[in-house]
Amino acid sequence: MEKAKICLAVIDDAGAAAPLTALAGRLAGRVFVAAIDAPEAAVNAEKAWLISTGGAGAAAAVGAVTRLLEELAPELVITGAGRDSRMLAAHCAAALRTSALTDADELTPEPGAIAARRLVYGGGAYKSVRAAYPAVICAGPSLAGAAAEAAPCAVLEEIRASLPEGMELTGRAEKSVVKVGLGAAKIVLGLGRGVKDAANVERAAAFAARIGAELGCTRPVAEDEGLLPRERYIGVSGAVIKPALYIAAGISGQIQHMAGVNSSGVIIAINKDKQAAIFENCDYGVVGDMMEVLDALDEKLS
Amino acid sequence: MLNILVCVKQVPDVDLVTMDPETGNLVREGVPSMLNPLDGNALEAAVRVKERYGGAVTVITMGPPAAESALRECLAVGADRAVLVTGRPFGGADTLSTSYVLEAAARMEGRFDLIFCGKESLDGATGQMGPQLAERFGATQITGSLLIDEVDIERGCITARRELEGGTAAVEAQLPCLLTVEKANFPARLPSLKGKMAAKRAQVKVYTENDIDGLDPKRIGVPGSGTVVPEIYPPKLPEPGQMIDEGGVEAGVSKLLELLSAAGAI
Ligand SMILES: Cc1cc2nc3c(=O)[nH]c(=O)nc-3n(C[C@H](O)[C@H](O)[C@H](O)COP(=O)(O)OP(=O)(O)OC[C@H]3O[C@@H](n4cnc5c(N)ncnc54)[C@H](O)[C@@H]3O)c2cc1C
Repeated sequence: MEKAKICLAVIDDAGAAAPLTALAGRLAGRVFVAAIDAPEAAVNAEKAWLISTGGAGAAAAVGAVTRLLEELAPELVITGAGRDSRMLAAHCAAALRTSALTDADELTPEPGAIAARRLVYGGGAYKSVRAAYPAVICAGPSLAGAAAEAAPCAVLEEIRASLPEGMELTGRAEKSVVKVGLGAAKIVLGLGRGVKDAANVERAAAFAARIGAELGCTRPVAEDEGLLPRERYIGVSGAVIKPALYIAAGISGQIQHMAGVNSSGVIIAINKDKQAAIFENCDYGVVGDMMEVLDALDEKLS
Repeated sequence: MLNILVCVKQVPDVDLVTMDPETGNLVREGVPSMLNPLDGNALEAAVRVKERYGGAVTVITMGPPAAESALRECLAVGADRAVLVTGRPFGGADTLSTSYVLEAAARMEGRFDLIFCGKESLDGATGQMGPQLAERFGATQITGSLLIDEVDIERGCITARRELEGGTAAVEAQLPCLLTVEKANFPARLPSLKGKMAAKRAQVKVYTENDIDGLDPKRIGVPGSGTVVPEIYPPKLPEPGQMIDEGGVEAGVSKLLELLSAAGAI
């Protein structure tokens, strides 16, 4: 395997730091990290730059990162999967006169280039893509969420960054960030539209807690119905999970959702519609009302 | 008078794109195309700015001749002018060459104070176009805009609320500014009958590769792209499973109990 010479990992999410820097180490001989408002991201690298934006957010770090690109002339840049990560990737790509490979996984170095796979058409197809060096990779959720060791960096340098010229931060409001452990969960209970209302979500959540399962959902349950926070939805545009057991309740089984769960150990689906697509893509299928099944199960366990 | 540009794309309705199980090719025939939904939200934001402060909204797209219909969708809901950039040499472009072409074509139409983009496209979903274009236009940018608070024409700046990972920030940016737009607060409006009629009659300006000043043929289409797509193939899905429909809920519950205890949950 032909490695790239230098990789700069641009990390704005501490959680993705270990997997992405470890990945960088597999793809390149020398790894450097630009850690944006995330000092914890200074891992698995020769040197890390701790970029602090004073609350202005990742947009303020663009200038500092671009200067690092000039200084290091990396063949490879790796960023995370979040919205700001993608924005950073776009700027790195513009600076290096290329296009970023977004939502990438299965990265394979080739002489002078890197090949990757990405999901397109809302999860309906994979594209294999190749980019010549210098290349920018925006890691997909499966790479950014992988488990990895983290060895702290010995060499650190701090950079204070501010928004680019012509821009000013005039206010800020925090929102409580929901920490969701979907990536590491052994058992996940996924709720689809079949859950119907908030009262049922609550009952399902109580059941999940009883069996030590993390609660997940489909996109419409989060985005359209607002029954669970966005951080909990699973699929191509949400979390990609690999639990030992996935219980899909009231989920029709569209490919965009299934792409996020198909690495699960065992998938069991509960759906009242015998024709539901999910029954084509699970290990066990239970035809029935999801709340009835969950309640009966709950009763057995109590 | 604000000069506003909205960059849009025509996309296939991805829910209807299927894969030929024999050949692995995407079946796009007969799949209807539409204006990328998130671009509709960007257009709505642009039209609201126009309605409040005055100005003109130009929509631009690069695509096949049929992409004209996406532009007419925009003309029906408040865009004043439409530009279609089309021609075989533009085909196979990634975000690098698309942003190059869009900026070059937009320059033919004058200078823009505000440039709006959807957050991402339904089919490619790279989310790269906005920031790439901001670099091309030399514009400041506000990605993930939730609300537009004010455009101060005198001072030449815009204030908007943008989403951050852990909250929201209010930012003031000098014009020209590029904004990518979150969908929540900018639901696309339905066209009025009058709008539809006007859109039908409106003229769409067409640029081919020969009509854009200073266009470098090496920087467009496939040669101008930083990435190559050797193939498209279907994702692997789990195998069909075992149905536990005999015995109904009871049987399902005992299977679940068995699986839960195997997973160490009980
Ligand atoms: C570009 C794009 C990206 C997308 N990304 C994602 C993504 O990342 N994640 C995602 O999940 N979706 C995503 N989607 C949406 C996806 O296509 C589906 O629309 C979605 O997954 C369907 O969610 P659902 O199964 O909850 O709802 P539905 O499809 O409405 O299915 C509900 C199911 O519940 C069953 N049901 C109803 N009542 C009961 C009951 N009482 N008991 C048992 N079963 C019941 C019904 O039979 C039905 O099968 C994306 C779509 C697009 C276009």
